[in-house]
Amino acid sequence: MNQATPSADRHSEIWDLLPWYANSTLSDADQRTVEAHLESCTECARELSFLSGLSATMHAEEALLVPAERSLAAVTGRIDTVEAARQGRLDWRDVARIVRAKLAAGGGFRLDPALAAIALLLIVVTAWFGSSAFEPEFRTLSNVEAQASDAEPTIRLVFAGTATIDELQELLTGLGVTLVQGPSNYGVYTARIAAAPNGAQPVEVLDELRRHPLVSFAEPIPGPEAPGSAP
Amino acid sequence: MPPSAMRAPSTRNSDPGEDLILLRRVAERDREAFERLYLEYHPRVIRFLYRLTRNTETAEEVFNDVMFVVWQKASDFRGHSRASTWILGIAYRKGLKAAAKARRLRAQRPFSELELATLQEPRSMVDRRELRDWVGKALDSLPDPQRIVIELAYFLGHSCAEISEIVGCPVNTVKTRMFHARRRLRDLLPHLGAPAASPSAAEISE
Repeated sequence: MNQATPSADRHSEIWDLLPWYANSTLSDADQRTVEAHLESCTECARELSFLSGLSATMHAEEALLVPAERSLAAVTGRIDTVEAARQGRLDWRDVARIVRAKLAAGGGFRLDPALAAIALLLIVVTAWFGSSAFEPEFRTLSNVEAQASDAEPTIRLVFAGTATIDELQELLTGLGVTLVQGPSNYGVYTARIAAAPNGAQPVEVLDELRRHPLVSFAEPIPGPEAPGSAP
Repeated sequence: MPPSAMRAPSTRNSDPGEDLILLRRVAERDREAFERLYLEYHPRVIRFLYRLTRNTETAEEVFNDVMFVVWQKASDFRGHSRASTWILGIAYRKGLKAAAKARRLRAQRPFSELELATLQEPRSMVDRRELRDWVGKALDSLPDPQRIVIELAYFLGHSCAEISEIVGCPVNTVKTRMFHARRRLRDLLPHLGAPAASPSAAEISE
């Protein structure tokens, strides 16, 4: 066992700096100190080689092909819901519908605690004042019957990258869907569901869009959205 | 080979100043700024979370939870650290919980995703995958606090001080975790970086 000498202390100090030298995060001064030591220390040079091999292997993993636009649309929908609730544009029936829709769609829906608390509060307040106190301003596809004719349900859409213009036109025309805005910088469109040629209800049109292979994401927009506000 | 040639290029590829501006705009409920921040962080944080959980869907779900917190809490960010450090700190805490759950689920499955993929790939890809799998298994054998220090240092390229902020522990604790992780990995991967001249299968059979 080596005695602790100034040189051994120096070696130990450099040894502790090597991980941070290998990932290029040392200060310039420390970097120069390490490089000077490496010229004469084979043990540290071997350790650096090991750490570099580890780093290179960890970086060699292929890129994950997770479509960002689809995930973004999902989190944006979640934010819309909570923001609408905060601004009082969402009542407990809408929360229940969202929960039911998410559960029906499957795939790991977890109710946000803040949203759950707001939903509970709305239920209590609604029960106290009567349901007429909370007529829903929030537009969902399932309360479309109650809406004025000019208040067509508005949705957000993201299409698969492979879709051609002709295919999209055919799909949207067949379902009575009109694009009113988009794409945003991130490929998100805003669309309205008018009367479908086959008489399908908006909820059915939304289901059809969600199942279609050319559609990556289709979700209703809670609350009125002024044209021009980017999704 | 000069020592500098063995250093990894920095992987911290976002501009700290721009991230800070975006985060401040998010605090003011700027949806476009949120979307830019989301898309900028998506690839690397998803990969970091995937490395913790070994499950793409879980990584995606946790990342959305992280960015939802960013939307809700951006106004709490005081700018004492980099925006990336703050966001990674949220990802670390959420990823750690998801990793523990994913590990329990993996233990119940007969084959890992990696092993199933290996059965269907050509030989050259299998070789590369074997190396990654080998390193992955060595990393899996580390206690979570040590493994996360390695992931943050070598996968995301963070400095010791940044890791201490992300993880919420003193710098010396990060150094200690790094020290033990290195020692353990050297025992498990003695030839990484300096491959031994192993005989081929044919040579062994002769």
